[in-house]
This record gives sequence, structure tokens and C-alpha cells, in this order.
Amino acid sequence: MKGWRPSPPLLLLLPAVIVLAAVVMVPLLLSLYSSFTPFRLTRPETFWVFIGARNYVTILTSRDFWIAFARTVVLLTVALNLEMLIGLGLALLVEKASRGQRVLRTIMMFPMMFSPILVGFQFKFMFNDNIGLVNNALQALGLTDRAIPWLIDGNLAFIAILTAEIWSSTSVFAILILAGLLAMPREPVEAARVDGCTPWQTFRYVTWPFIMPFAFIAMTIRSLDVARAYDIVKIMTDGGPAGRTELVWTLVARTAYGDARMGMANAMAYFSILLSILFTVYFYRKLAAARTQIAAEW
Amino acid sequence: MDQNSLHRAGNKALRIVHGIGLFLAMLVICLPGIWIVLSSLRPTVEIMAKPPVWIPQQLSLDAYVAMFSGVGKGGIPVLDYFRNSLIISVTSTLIAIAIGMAGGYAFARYRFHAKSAMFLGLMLTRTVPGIALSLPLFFVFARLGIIDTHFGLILVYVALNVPFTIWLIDGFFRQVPKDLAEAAQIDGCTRWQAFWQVEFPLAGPGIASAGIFAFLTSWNEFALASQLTRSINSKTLPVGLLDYTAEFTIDWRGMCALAVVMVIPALTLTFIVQKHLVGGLTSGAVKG
Amino acid sequence: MATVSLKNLTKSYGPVAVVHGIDLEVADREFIALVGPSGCGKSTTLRMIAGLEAISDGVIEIGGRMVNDLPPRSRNISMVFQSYALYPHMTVRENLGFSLKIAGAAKEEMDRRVAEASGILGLDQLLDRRPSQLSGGQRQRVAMGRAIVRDPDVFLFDEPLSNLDAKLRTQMRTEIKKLHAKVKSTVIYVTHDQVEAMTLADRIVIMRDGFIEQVGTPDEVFRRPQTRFVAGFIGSPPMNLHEAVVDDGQLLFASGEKLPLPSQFKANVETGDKVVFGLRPDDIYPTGHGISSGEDVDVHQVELPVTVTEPLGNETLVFAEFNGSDWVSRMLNPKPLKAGDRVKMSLDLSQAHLFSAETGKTLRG
Repeated sequence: MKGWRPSPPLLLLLPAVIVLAAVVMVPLLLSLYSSFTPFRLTRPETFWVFIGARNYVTILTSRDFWIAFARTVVLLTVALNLEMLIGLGLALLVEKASRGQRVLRTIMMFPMMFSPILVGFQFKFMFNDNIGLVNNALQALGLTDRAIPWLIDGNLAFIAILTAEIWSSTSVFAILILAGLLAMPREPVEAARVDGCTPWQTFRYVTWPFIMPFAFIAMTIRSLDVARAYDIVKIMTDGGPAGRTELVWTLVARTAYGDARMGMANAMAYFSILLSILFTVYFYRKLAAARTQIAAEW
Repeated sequence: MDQNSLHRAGNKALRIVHGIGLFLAMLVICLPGIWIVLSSLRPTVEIMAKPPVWIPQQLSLDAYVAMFSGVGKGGIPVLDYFRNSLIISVTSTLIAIAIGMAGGYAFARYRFHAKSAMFLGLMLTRTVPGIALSLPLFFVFARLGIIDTHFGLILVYVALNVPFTIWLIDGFFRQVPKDLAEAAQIDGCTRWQAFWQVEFPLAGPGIASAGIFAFLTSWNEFALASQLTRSINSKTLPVGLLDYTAEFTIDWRGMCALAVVMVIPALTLTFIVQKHLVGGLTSGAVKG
Repeated sequence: MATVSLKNLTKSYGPVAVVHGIDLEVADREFIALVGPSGCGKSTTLRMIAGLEAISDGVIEIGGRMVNDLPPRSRNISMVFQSYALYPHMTVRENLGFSLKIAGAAKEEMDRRVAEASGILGLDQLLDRRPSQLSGGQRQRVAMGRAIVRDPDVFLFDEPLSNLDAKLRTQMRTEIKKLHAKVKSTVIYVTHDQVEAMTLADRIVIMRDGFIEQVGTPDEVFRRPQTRFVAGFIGSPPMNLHEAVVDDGQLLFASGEKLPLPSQFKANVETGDKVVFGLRPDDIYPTGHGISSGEDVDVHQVELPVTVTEPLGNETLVFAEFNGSDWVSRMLNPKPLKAGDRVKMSLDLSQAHLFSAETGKTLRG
């Protein structure tokens, strides 16, 4: 009776698929190919030389790469966990506030709106060993009498970067967990209190399971964009001094644009993509699991 | 003391601790912003002073005047950057919203094969680090001759924003009961009319906040913009910020002023989005 | 105004069928109720008639015109949803007039018909409010008003009263009945509440698992249930239903207790048949305290222990033990009884039902 028609959802999704294929998938295939070549921007003819997995071998046997990779994983793991904890704390503080919740919530969203590049500058300014707010404050309070080289010492720089990262991204967690707390039905908490639970037990066995999916949405959203940290590091230390804060992303940028070794950089980039995908898929799965659990219980 | 007064004293202490904690948390959130605004208004001498000057002695708008007075007079082409940022962000946002609305509607209203895999796939394109994506894009764009153009960056930002926009808009459409669209169809609407007459107006505020979110992402993006732009033709504000850094010195005051210029539109929009944004993010989460 | 006819109407999702080829003829201006437990396919059937759900097989005709593939807007129907589905961004007036606006009606025509509908339903004071400012009952009325304004061939109701509290539900039930008397159009009304179906409908369609169990007037489905399911579904409190074996003119129950085989079934069963015996609470009563059907031809007396009584004021439900479980009986002229009392009960076997244990079908000739 009627001829073949493409299904409506397919048609509706087509523009999205086309754009993403053109701007993301095809270029990525291209970069996948070039990761098997010794391609240098300065010598276009090298694009056609196939060298197999040699770039990957070089990378996998490179100490610098593995250190940068490990540092990235550590940074992300520490940052995400701390952001979650601090965000939870912040959300609980705001939820308990009896007045001015709207204002507090708006302030809480502040850092989200700062471009990561601004966050980098801001914290570079504050952690400046000579004129920065942090050292000035420490000295004025008499906690130290010398200038602490925040961005010069490798470990201290790591802490400075971590601070900037946490400052800029904690609000995602705080906002979503707060939304979870506000959406939570009152009765289970009241029942737990009547049943003799301590505040900690109430939180652990009633509140937390309910807000967990919200925490995982935050995690998933956050992990979509973990590489934002590149902007911050790029500005604060640019991987330096002497590679002591080098992350996968800064290494890729340096290899590609500094040394013009595109093929090699693309091979490294694939590791960073893999890392991002792993983080996202991991949290997305957790989210799906938490979601079914909450659907079953509430 | 009996048990009751003991508990009362405990509660009071807890309230005080809570108040202090809240104050400190808000201070830490606000301090960097306040510090930047303050520094943009102080003379460089005061910023550099050792020992530090805590209470500003004199405030002036010199940094802003210098910034807007153009190249050659100690300023940078802020107006050009601002214009580029605005054109690129607004255009890419509008396109991303149009595409995102179609996609979000598909996810919210239809069942189809491999739906959740499709959703995850779309999201995963967003996870590709900007810097990793910039390598092939730089190469392709150079070949196509669209490096350092508005068009190139708009295209990239559309792709960057589509996945998350779909996520948000999917959530907003889910909040509009399906019954309403069906009732409209029974009342004589085509599916297309039902969408524009009923579903769109109801999801409107949410879609607007998804738009603002997309705008902010474009407005703030650096990793790709720094590689795909070169001159005042297309350089955006985040890239322009680097103009204040020379090899070893940074014009802190000027940079702070530019930072304020960059952040003000973003903060204004925050107030508008905040309510709907969270709703869209979470509605998809619990209802699945 | 129109007839509705369903022929072999089928809905399946992949290999799973939820409506199994049902046939139904609805007369012009008839009020039909589709009733059954949740998941019986009644709502799916209604949504197929509305055009909101594609049909897998069969034919739907409205007013003699096949509408199988027509979109909802071309079927000239209107529907009241369980959730009311009022447009939250429009006032009551705009909600009522929306279908006319879409159809491109003139302003005067629109005002006139909205005024007419709001007059019928008493919405005049509420026309400029938003749905969120209305109570549940008012929303329900607006939803019905929206349906009336369209002046459709067929009204479809999808459990329209289930979101209301008990008192309001009774009130709205009466209003729907009055409304039907006024607008005189064909109505198809889906509900899971058999009382609603009985009180409102001209004919009731009882559905179960995607099949029609019985179609009939309220009186027919109550007095002459065709299947064991209908017998148990219609009536409150429900019919007492117990399995038994026919044994030489008697019914032998699992406990060993016996009842005489009601005479009207004698011709249709023989010894050894497995049957289900059914008796409504109205037809069991403490002797002298129930409906006396005059010259009872087939009343059986038996003394039973009372387990629970539920006094309702004008009547009392008495639960008495027989065959190892409680049988409900209705005592119309209550006298005090307490648990443990042994009471002489009258069982009016002329009103009894007998179904085949195997097929569930009635054994009435």
C-alpha cells in the first residue's frame, strides 16, 4: 500500500550523524592512517610512506610517554575522586542551608562558566611565586618566609594544577548531587531516623544510594570532557618545567606542532582518545546500572 | 546537664560549624574571580609590589581603556576577537540546536534499533580530546583552505556541541508527556503541527538553556581554536588571551581586564540557564 | 454520529500479539465500555481506533468508512486521556478552542462553540485559568469539554476517572452519563472498574489477554456470564467460585462436602465432569435475612460457621466457611452475628452458575 520510507528517527538523526562523521569520524580515520606513516608537516611527501606500527613501537618503548601517560591517569583519578567528594560535601552544605539557597546555588555554578583557559591564567597568577596571592597570603600569615616555587617544582606544580582543575570542575558534581538531594523523597530518610539510624547510617544506606545516579551523571558529563585539563596545563606550565608536568595532551601538542611530527603525534593521540573513551564508557555503564537500581527501588 | 540540653548544645555547635563551612566554601569559589576583577582595576606597580599591597590604594579603568584603544597603543585587537567569538559562538549554537532538536526528539519519542548504542556512540564522539582532533582537522582544513576562517571554526563547534545538545534536549522532550502530542493529533494536528504547537513551546525554556550551554562551550573553547585560527580574521577571545603573554613576561593587569570582559557574558548567561540546565541533565538519568 | 466496526482487529509487537483479532460492532449513539484487568488489550484497542497505534491486521470502520491508515486528525474522533493531557501552556479557553484553531475556524464560530461546551460543563468561571490552577475534577471537565467542542463522530475515553478520588469519581460518572444523554454520540469508554462500566454503558465488552470474553448489556453480563472469568470479574463482592466434581446428581467438593446439582444444569453434565460452581453473594443469605425470591423452587439449606462479618449499615456481608474456604453472603436485614456462630444459610441454587473447569465456558444450555 505504501512504498518504502526511511524511519522517522533515522531521518531526524541524519544531520547529527553527517556532521559528526564529517568533522570527527573521517578526520579520525585520516589520523589513524597517518599514525602509520612518518608524516611531517614540513615534508608532505612523507604522508604516503607506510611504516607499519613503527610509531607505536617507538611510543610504547618511550619512557617519557609512559610517564606522561601515567601522570595523566593519576591526575584524572585523583581529580575526579576529589571533585566528587568535595562536590558531595558542598552539595550537603548547601542543602542544609536554611536561607539563600538560590544565591548559593548560583555562586556554586560560577566556576563552570569560566573558560578553562581563564582558569589556567587565574591560577597561574595566584600561584606565581613572586606576586601570587597564595605566596603573599602565606608570607603575610607568617607560615613561610620564602617564596614557594609552586609552578617550578614538579610535585608542587602538580598540586597547583590539581587545585585549578578541582576548582573549575567541582561545581558540576555539586550541582547535580544537590539536584539529587532536592529530588529525594523525604519519607525514607524519616523512616530511617525513626528506625534508629545515626545520621551517618542514614546517609550511607538511604541518601547515598539515591543520589548515586546523579553522581554518575556528573561523572559521565565530566568524563566527556576530561581533556579540558589540557587548556589549564597548557597555560599554567605547558608541561614544563623540563617535562615535569607533561600530560599526554601536552605531549601530543608538542610533538605535532612543536616538532611537526604529525604521524607520531597522531599515534599518541590515539592513546589519549582511548583513555577518554575508557573513562566515559566506564561511568556510563555505572550510570546505567545505578539507574536500573533506582528504578527498581523507588 | 541532662540529655535534652546536651543535644540542644550539640545542635547549636553543629549549626555554627555548618555556617563557617559554607562561608569558607563560597569564599574559595569566589576568591579567584574577585581577585581578577580587583587586579584589573589596580596599577601594575601595586600588583607587583613587594611586600604586597592588600588594600587597593587607587582604582582605575586604565587597563580597559588601553585594551580597547587598539593595536599600537598598547592594546590588542579585543574588538576583533570579541566579534569573532560572538559570530562563531552564536552561529554554531543555532546550528547545533537545530540538529540537536531533531536528534533529541528522535531519542525522546521513538523506539528504534540499537538506540542506546547509538546514543553512547554519539556521546563518545564528544570525548575525543580537542588536541587529538585538532591534528587531522588542521591538516584537512589546510587542504580545504578553511583554516583561519569563521566557517571552519563554526563547523567544528557544531560537531563539538551536537552530542551534548542531543543529551540535554532528549531530557527536555522526555519531560513533555507523550499524551499531549497525541491529544494534539486527535485535535486535528499533523505530527509536525503537534510538535510546533505543543511540544516545542513546552520544551522551549529547556532548549534555550541547552543553547546557552552550547554557546558557552564555543565561547570558552581553546584547544581547537588555538590551532585552527591564526589572525584577527578568526581568532577568538580565549586565543587572544595569549597575546598578553610574551616569552618571559605577562601583562597581568591587561590579562585580568580581558578575562573580565570574557567572563561577563558567560556569567550573565549562567543566571538564565541554571534552573533548566539541571532539570534537563537529570530527567534523563532517573527515568531512563 | 457514526457506527464503529472492528473486524479481526489485531495488534502485535513483533511475535507477541496483544490484541488477537477481535470483532465488534458498535451501533450509532451507543455507549460501549471496554473493561478488563490491566494488560488485557483494552487501551491498545482504543488507541488503534484513535489512530495513535498502527494496526497489525484487520479493519477499522467508522461510519462505514475504512480508516485503517488514516491519521488521528482525519478520523473525526475525540479522546479524553487518563492524564487529561491538557496543554499546560494554554488557558482553559485556548485548550477548548485548540482543535477549532487548528481547523482554521472563524473567531465567532470558535467563541460560540467554546461557550457552548463550557456552558454544558459549567466551566464559565474558569476560562482564563491555566490547567495548573485547576483541581482534578475541573481538569477532567476541561478534558471532556475539549472533546465536545470538536463535535466528533465518536468519543473515546481512556480510563478518564482513574485519577480522581472515590467521591469525585462517583460524581463525574453521573456527569458523563448526563453528558451522553445530551450530546447523543457514539462513545467507547475504556475502564478497569466494572462498576463504572455497569453504570455507564449500554453494552459492556469484557476483555482478557487480548480476546473478547463476552459482549452484552450490563444485565446480561451480570446474570448470564458466558465464562468463569466474566463471572468472577463482574459483581462486587465477587461471585463465590469453587471447583467441584459432578457425582450422581450432586456436586462433590474437595473437602468432601456436597451440594445438590442445580436442576437447570442436569441435562448438560454427567457424573465425573469437573466443573466450577458459582453463586453470587446475593443468592446466599442467613435464612430469613436475604432477598426472598418468593416461591423458591431450588433453595438449599445448610448450617455453616461464621468466620467474619462486615457490617455496612444497610446490609452486612457474612463470611461463612464451606469447602475449606470463606463464602461471601449478603444479609439484607442485618441481625447481630459474631465469628464462630453457626448459622443456617439459604443457597438459592436456581441462581447458581456452572462452568466447565476445563474450558471455563458456561454449562448453561
